[in-house]
Amino acid sequence: MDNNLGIYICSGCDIGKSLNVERLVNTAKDSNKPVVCISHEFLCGPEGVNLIKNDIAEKKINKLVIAACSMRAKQDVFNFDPLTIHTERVNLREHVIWISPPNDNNTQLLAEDYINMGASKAKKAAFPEPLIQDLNKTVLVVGGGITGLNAAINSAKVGYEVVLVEKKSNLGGFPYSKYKKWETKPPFDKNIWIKEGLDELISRVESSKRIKIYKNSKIKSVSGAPGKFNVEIEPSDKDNAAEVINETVGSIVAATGWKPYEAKKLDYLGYGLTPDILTNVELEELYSELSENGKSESFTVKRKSNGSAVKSIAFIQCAGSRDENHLPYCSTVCCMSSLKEAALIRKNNPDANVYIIYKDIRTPGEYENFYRKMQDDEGIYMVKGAVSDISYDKGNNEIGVKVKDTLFGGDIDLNVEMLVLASGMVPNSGEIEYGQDVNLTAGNPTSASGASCPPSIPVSTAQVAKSGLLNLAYRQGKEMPDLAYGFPDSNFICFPYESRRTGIYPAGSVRMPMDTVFSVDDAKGAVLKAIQCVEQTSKGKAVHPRSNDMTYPFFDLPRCTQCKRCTEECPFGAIDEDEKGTPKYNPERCRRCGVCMGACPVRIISFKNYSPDIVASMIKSLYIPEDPTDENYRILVFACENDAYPALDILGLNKINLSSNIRVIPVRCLGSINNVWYADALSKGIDGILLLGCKFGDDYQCHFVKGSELASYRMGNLKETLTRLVLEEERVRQIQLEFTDYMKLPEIVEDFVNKIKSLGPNPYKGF
Amino acid sequence: MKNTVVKTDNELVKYIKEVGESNFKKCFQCGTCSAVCPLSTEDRPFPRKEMIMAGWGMKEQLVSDLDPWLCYYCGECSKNCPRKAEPGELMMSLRRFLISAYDWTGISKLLYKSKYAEYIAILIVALGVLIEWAVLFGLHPAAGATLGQAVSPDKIDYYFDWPITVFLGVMLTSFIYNMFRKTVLSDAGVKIPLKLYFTEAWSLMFNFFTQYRYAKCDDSEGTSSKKLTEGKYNFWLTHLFLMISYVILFVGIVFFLDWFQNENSLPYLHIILFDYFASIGLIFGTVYFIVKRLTKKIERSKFSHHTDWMFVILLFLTGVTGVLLRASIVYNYSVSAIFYIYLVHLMILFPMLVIEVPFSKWSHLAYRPVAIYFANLKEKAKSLNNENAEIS
Repeated sequence: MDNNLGIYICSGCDIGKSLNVERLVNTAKDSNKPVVCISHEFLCGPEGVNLIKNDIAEKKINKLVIAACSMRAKQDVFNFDPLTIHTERVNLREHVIWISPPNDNNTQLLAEDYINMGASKAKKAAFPEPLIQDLNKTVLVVGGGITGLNAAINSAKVGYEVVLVEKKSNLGGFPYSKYKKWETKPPFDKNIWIKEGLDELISRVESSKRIKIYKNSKIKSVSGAPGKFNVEIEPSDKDNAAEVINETVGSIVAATGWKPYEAKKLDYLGYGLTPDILTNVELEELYSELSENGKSESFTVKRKSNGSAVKSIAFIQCAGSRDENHLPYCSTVCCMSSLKEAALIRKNNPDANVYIIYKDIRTPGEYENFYRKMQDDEGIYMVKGAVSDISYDKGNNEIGVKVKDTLFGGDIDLNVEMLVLASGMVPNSGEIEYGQDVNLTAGNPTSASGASCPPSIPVSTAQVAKSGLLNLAYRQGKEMPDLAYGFPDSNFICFPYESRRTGIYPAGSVRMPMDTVFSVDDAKGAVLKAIQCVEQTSKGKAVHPRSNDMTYPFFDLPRCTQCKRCTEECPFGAIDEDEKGTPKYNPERCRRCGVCMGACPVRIISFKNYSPDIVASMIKSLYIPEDPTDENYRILVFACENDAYPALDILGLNKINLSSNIRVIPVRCLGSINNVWYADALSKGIDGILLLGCKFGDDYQCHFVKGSELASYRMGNLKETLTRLVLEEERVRQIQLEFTDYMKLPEIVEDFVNKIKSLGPNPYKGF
Repeated sequence: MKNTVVKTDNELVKYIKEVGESNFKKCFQCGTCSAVCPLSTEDRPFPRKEMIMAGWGMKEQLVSDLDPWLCYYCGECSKNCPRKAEPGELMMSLRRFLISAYDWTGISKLLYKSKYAEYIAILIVALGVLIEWAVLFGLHPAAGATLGQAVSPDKIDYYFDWPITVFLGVMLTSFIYNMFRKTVLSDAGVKIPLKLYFTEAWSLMFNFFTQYRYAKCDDSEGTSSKKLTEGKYNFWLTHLFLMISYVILFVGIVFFLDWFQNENSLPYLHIILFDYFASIGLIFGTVYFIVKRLTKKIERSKFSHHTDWMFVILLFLTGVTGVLLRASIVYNYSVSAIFYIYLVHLMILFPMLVIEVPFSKWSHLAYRPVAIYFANLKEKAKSLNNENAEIS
């Protein structure tokens, strides 16, 4: 491979006024022996870009070092074919002149170091060789409820083949055989027939030529990767002797919905005392029965115990929800559903008094209007309070409800004929397998509810202990990992629909509790993600968050020691392994974070343009002055490209000075840091190493889920090494930083620099 | 609140909805109303408490509640309510409900529910007055009769003044006793020592004659004189002026009727008191409130129930016909003119007294100071009990 290096230094945006550009050009020439090294006062202007283009054409420059602004700026201008030209951006503006005093020797040294690092990286970097394949683009939709039907019809609408698998004999999901739903459009003030529009949707799905439907079926196993998943579909009824059918699909939308929270766990609220105490789902079922599946509108709601018309009924909201001993979360629909039921009772039994005891009434968005409407009904009484006791008086056939801490300023007692426990939704995300080989320890709070709240996974392994839904033939387990409480999401805010299994997108109430209106939109979102995935993957490009990245890790397997760290630590389960433990990498499942590269103790994993060797040579290119004065301390900063690097940019934008002792190396994720870099840096004479990465823990912000946590975990091992080298472990520090924390950076850096100064210079300096 | 089984009454909820324009069911108990209320206290968190009791139709608790009478409808709560639930208007509705609850005859409830019932009731009384007048004095004055002969003050006293005074006295006393029973006697938690009834009596008089709590309705920064010049006391002072005028005239007419019928016998001081002060007070006050109710610019006049209109209009007409009658006597109109003006005046005055005083809006003149008195009694008794408990 020809290495025709061209270094272009921009002197615009005050770079020329703050730095000695002539000196920069000269040192860059001396250190890196480029084919071209020039400065230009307006590199991003047409003249500057043409200059680069001419050099590419005439001087065959294929390694560009553009020393100008942040790599996050002017991406549209410095946009050269990545397959033939490596473009390395050196950030002289945001990371040098905007945060350092102008025309200062230390500022000049900082700029020189950055250009040298950029040039070393460019020289070593190879061009990506994208994995372009002809892949299957069929969307597998698991579940034929509202979400599944909408996912199927929307995929078909935009021209994608669909395989729809439904375990029951009919499509339509939970609402299919129920009675009424609340109005789904403003003004949300009445209840409508639940199957309004549903039958039509089902018939559209059933008549679509692009949709292949398997009813009474479930997934036996899924193997492969996006674009080439092999799905085994078997009958859901075990007695059925039908054969297993194989389908190949490109991506998967998991719309498996929810199941009601187990009613018998609600015995603390009186469930089981009398047939008149029932759950909200049981009340819905009672309605389907009374209405003869919607055929009849005029009926009276009768007590199950004695068949008399109900004259008083109480609803207890958050029954087994928002409770650490049961479901810790809010299911968002129970308030609306109780209000709807209250309205129905008032319509069918006009003399009935309806009581609603709530923790908080939650009617999201415009549903508030429905709540307001129900508030106005003189027979509906709502109060905030906590149910303290439920008793059943057999003689009077009455249910006593004691409520404490009410807004009446005390406790109240209610006597009612019927009691409805508004309990929550549990995601259908697979059942927990209690196997011996599964490590379920490492600080996980196993909740009393068992199935609903699986324990969190220990840091070092992403093993999923569930099965029964997708039954993935993956090394890390059969189902998608949970984000929390059994919901297989990746991050509720940043990456909706994205599970931690590339190509598999949960949608609807399996992803988070939601009603049918939200599920319709959710289905569309997940379908777009599923399509994006197969399209990107077939072009050899990564999906979010490193969208369009065409590199992928290369495994030099002959040197592999089968330590299994990569297969265990991959946040996305991209790496399977053979019987011996040799990794079997699936590039289509990969998100290109580099966590495997960071994990590998023998450094056999590398990307074409990002590898242990490339970063090592960047570190090697740094100038480390030996004179132990304050300004000569050198701190290496590994900054996460996703949050920490932009935070540094914003700091620059605000022109806030930062210590000139630091040298920043952007990394794909802190998880991609290989421990060898610490050794490289410390033996080079670097005095301290600062890691700036995302927040980890329960509300993590890491774009690759576990990267920053893994970096912190691996530093545990590093500290032993440091002690052995008689180096203070404080020389390496990790800081969890949010993008918006940029104002904290000067303090963070100064604090660390002072710490290093108090430790004194690195004793290996100059060796 | 005691831990008793809650009984909700949706008929009551409906009734409270009918007698006012509050959207009290819209309340979600944020407590803003009580927080901004200048009169509400920690022990008496009105109107928040009343909002939920009304929303739940808790008859027992509402009937024994004195707090609606402690509210003067400054409207701060309604202005600040995030749900536009109109807590101020609810307190007004509850006063209407309470008036009908103290009234054992059931007439109030009828009058509050239907404006036609009120019209008919007024017509019946007016007709009764006409018939009584016709029996006593005929439909024409006898030719050549003096005023004293045509409309004998004695007969007016015997057949109009005294009976109405006794009627109103009996009615109001029984209603107030009813109120006492429901709000004080029913409260098992408080035993009021007999002595307190006398030592606290001053508060009854003080509040009756000053309506001092009205002034507290404005808790903004600033001295009283500044507030006075800024007009913040206008409503209070006008209301007080109207009430004092009314009381002066009522007492004057009941006990000193002949002064009014004879221009010469009226002492100089009384001319000032009755002819000027009280007449001006009555007419100015009613006009002021009519204007406020028409313009609807301030919270307390935003909504007008039909009984509000009826009361203020009857009072205004009573004042106008009264002034006209007095003028016709002073300026020596023909006896027949005075005779008819007198009749019209009584046909307005009596419905006002018979209907409005015990059964409708007027009664707040009696209930409000009494309620403050009862509330003071209960509070004092409670603090006495607590002191005793601490000592023992």
